[in-house]
Amino acid sequence: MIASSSLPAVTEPAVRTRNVPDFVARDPGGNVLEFLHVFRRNPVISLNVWVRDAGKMADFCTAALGLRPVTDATELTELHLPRVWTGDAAAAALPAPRVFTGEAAQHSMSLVVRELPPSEAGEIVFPMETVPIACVRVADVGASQRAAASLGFETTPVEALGEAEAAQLHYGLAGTATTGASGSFLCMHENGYVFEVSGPMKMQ
Amino acid sequence: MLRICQRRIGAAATRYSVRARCASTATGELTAVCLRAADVGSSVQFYADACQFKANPAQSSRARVVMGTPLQPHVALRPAAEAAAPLPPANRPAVTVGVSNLKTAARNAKRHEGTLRAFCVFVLWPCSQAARVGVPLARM
Repeated sequence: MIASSSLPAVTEPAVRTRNVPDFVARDPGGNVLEFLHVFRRNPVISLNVWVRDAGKMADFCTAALGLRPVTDATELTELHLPRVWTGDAAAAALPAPRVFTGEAAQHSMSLVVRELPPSEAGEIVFPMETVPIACVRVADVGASQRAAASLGFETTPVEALGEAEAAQLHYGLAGTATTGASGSFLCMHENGYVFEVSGPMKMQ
Repeated sequence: MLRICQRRIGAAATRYSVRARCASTATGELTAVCLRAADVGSSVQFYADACQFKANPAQSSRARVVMGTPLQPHVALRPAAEAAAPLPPANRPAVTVGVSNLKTAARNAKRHEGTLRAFCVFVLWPCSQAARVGVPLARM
């Protein structure tokens, strides 16, 4: 057990952007959140994926998840929040994060691929999740699954899961996530991240 | 092209709706980020206060809560009843959140420091067991 008092719940600012201090906090579930300032009315969110092999993950994002790399500096800054973690000297020396997002620029979440420092690359440093960390919709589930498999990722069709396991996938996302929808599959990254990939949502 | 559609959610349909993007081209779309929550209620309050997200009231009774804003992505909070790994290191943020008022967000986040639970410590899945997706799922 880790005493709550020993947890670095809220850190001091690591860097200052636009003279506004950033900070890092843990939510009550222990997830680490990095807060940055954006000039937007609504909050924006990016999912960070820490991996040993950023290149392989980048291939997975484009080929299997159908996400597009974001390279435009303005878009990166204002929408997708990539920032090298400068509070960690080792991480600061890492390659720049690679940012991927969907088609819509304005309101899409982004997935930021970050490479672990060499000192941590040989060990698992974060939880091996048992349920997906992200849900992705693609136009062609079959092609996505084949692409993931060709990259060496383990895939499991949701239909192949037992009833209890499938029930765990019911996030209550009101149609944005699968509830055992036909064609969806789970894909596990070697670092323990599980993605749920499903097809286009049927219009009602 | 992306299409925007609305799905009605049970009895709360008149008060709350979720816009979901429908990928109709070859481009994929990240539709939700799923985060664990040792205590869903505390996490909901945290995200409401610090991130200005709103909970989907239709789902709160199911202890699987979706948060976000009408135009922003969904964060699914799922109860972490299963054993999982130790807390991730603080210098490896799982999520980056951009907010317009950092001072308010920081103040509200600090208010929740006391809600951090010691039991939000998870058991690490051995690499060998996690190699196949079906194994850890079956053990939930």
